[in-house]
Amino acid sequence: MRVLPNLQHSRRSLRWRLFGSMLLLTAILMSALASGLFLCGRFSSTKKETAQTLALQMEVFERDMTSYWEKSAVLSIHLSQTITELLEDYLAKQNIPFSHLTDSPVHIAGLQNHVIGSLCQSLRQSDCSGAFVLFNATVNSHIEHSELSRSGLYLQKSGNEIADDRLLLYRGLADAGKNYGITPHRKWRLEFQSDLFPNYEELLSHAAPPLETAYRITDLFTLPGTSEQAVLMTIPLIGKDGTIYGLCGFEISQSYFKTFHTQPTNLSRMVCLLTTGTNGILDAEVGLSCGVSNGYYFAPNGNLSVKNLGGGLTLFSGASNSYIGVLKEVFLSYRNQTLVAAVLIPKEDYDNAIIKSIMQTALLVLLLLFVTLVCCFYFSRRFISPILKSLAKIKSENRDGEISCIMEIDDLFAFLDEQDRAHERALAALTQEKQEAQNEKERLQDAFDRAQEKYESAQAQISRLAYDRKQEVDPADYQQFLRGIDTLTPTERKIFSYYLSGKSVKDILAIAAIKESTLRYHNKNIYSKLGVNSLKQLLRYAALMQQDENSRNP
Amino acid sequence: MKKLFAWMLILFCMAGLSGCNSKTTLSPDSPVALTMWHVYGEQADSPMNRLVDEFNQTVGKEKGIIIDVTVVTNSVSLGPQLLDAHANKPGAPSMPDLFSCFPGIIKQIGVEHVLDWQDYFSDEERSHFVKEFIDEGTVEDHLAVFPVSKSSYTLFINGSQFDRFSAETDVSYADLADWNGFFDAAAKYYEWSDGKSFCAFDYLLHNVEMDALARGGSLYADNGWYDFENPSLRTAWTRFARPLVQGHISLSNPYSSTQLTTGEALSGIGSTAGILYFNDTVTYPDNTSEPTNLRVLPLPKTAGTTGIMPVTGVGLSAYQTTEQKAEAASVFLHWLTENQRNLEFVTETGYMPVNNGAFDLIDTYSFPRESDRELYESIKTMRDTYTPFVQTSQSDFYDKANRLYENLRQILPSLHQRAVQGEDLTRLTDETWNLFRSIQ
Repeated sequence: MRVLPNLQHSRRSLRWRLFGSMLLLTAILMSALASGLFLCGRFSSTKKETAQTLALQMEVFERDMTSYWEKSAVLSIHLSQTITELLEDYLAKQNIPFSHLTDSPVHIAGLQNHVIGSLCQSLRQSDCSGAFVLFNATVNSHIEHSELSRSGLYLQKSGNEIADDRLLLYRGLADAGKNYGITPHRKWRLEFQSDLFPNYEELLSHAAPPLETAYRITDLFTLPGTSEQAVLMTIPLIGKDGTIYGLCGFEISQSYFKTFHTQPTNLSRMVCLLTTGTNGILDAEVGLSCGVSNGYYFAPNGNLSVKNLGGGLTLFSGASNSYIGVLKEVFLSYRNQTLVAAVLIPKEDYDNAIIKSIMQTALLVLLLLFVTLVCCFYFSRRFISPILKSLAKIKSENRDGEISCIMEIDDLFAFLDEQDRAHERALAALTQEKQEAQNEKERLQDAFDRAQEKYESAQAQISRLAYDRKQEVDPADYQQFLRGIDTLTPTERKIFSYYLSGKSVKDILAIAAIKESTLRYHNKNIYSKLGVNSLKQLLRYAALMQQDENSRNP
Repeated sequence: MKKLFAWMLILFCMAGLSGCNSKTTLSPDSPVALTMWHVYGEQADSPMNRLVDEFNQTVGKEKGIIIDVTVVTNSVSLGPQLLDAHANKPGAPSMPDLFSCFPGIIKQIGVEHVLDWQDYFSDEERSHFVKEFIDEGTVEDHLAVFPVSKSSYTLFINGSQFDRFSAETDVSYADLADWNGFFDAAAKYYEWSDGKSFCAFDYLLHNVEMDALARGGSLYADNGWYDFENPSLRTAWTRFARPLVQGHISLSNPYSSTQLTTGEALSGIGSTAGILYFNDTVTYPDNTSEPTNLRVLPLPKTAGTTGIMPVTGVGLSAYQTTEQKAEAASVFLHWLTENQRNLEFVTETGYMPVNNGAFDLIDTYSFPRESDRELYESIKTMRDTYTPFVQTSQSDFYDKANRLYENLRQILPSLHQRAVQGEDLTRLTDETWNLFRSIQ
């Protein structure tokens, strides 16, 4: 605390004082700016902005998903109704019960030929990568593992291009496909295997009308024989009498989802996940994912632990990658199934954004500081230089014709010039006065010397006269005079001193404030005591007495 | 004070210049994403996709490159898809940054639109690759298509079924060494199986080509299509067309691998890369199944000749966009074509390596499946004894070939029916020849 006073009282140059003051002013202004930014929340804006951006992206993704899955649900319901009608129509025409399909290659082929057209149409109308219908029947119940084998059709779109309307037969009779120009998939199989069908038992056990609440989205699974992953939107085939004939629905493959659900965003890297649930852990490998419209797509892998960061952000930590994002439940109609959507950006991007923000602020501060220092240095120098020059000029006493271009300095120069001139005039006057005084002194000295000479001459004369008078005075009278002085009363002594000091009678009357009669009375007594007859004699004896005293005490 | 400012200025300059030292345009903090279309593992478990995943998790992560495979298709479909994308046709996706491609497609796209790999691979680096493959990918002095893998054709057989057929007819694998024995076996199988096709051909024309070449004469006309004035071509065509209309052999629809899987054909002739798509089991219409027991034999040759080994296969091209993407594409391609990786990749996909070093390693490679080992034995046999022939990469060749196949598929059922009814086979094969000639 004593530093500032010390600094204030330390002896420093004018330039340093100005530089310091300017620096102090800048520091105060920057502190005010920083406080303002802090109060306005600028320092925490990266987190806030990220949260806002991700929330917006989540809203877009959520709407996209809700719309997409509800549309798929509607198409699934229509597909179920259509296939069920076709199935029952076929059974009615063939006059066989549903159970007779098993072990009947003819009827199974007939049924597949009967429904494949509608299945193709539904698939082409949908925004899905595949469509299937699975019957609770098998062409051959006598082979090993036939209990797991289910007849049906599974069609897939050949590619993810809008213009490509070719279809592939993933499951089903190859001949049924050929009639519609559908070639077998490279990993074709005749029938479904229920143990490889996701959630098969659960789906059948929960199959019940009404269809509006009967659709389900399966877990993500790998399509057998391929590396493609997909989820199925399934719905049961429920007959008029409530018989569950099987399942049908649509396939949404990961590549198809990724192609058609890229999210519009300004973020350079973002990935959106859609899974069927989390429990403190987000398993990135059981959900569908998509990237962003700028082409970025990099699917997270493995389990991501979920941790709330506050401010609407969540940290998703994985073994190899971590993300920052938002998590939200997506509800479909009738809320018969909840999906969980996650919008994620790589944590490095978030960290980089924060670092960038800090760096920008730091750089700004450094830049301001640098500019401030330079400005303070430059302006203090520029401001002080003419003053220092002027001071130097003042010191050099040679500022004739100097114009500083600074009004105050020029005024000061004018004032100093005026002062100089006044001083010169005063000096001239004093010099003259001094000369006159010198002359007077010399004149007075001469007069003094003459007076001294006169005085000494007079003094000698007095001495001669006193000697002469003393010779004239009777020594006995004089001795009586000297003795009589001691007999004088105080009043008489006072009046005697007045006479000795040269006072006239008139003066004594005024000084002593006495009447003339009184004075005469005192004079009579004095004369009597001193043995004199007149004032003249008294003054002569007094002069002798003083001369004697002076001679004793020169 | 002046010194202080001078130091501050120096520090600022150093901070500003510190980012200018590196020449790379790549940064792990700001990864560049490259879309990729390829042909390795369509509708199956794609080895290329696994490699891409590995790259993304390792080198890509380290350097800031993300390869995103958006289309996995086949070499025949890829060309038209690329041309549609390049032409911005409605519904066509955007042009990928990296794509498998035949040189002929590059001619149509325009060589100026793709990277010249010579700018990214030094002479010394290029010398490690098979020279013929590098030359094949060079279009107008640009190395526009970098060889990643090459394939040939082999004969794939359902071993389980063939063993039963062989046991009852005395037809052996050795009989399939030349086309004479092959077609005899096809006829016998047709009879034995009550009318099933012995072999499905993926690319019938290429087999006709090999037979015609073996017989002599020019193969291609100036327009890149066939020289129909060459009598050898007609002889070869007739040789294949006759069993085709008889039903002894068939055209794949679209691939022989599926026809083996469904039991429709006993064997198939197609690209060596087809091995990736053959299923382990054959499933018959009654849902009974058996192990495929896949056997792989060299392509039958024309009797009395040394045999001709077709060499085909797409390479990798990169669309010309940004300098950063070009560098990223180069990093990926260098990584992909390293000796050991190239070897592992081609052996998984049924291709021949393009790297001399990888070729050398193949003899000592341990194959995971017997069929893979047999495939590379067949390739080795053909490399050692056949004459290699690099097939045309003319841009519209496959378009014409596909039109021929489509037309043949439409008329073959009726031709076969007529053959069964005893109509003159020469007349029927002439009809197919006329159809062939009509494609221009």
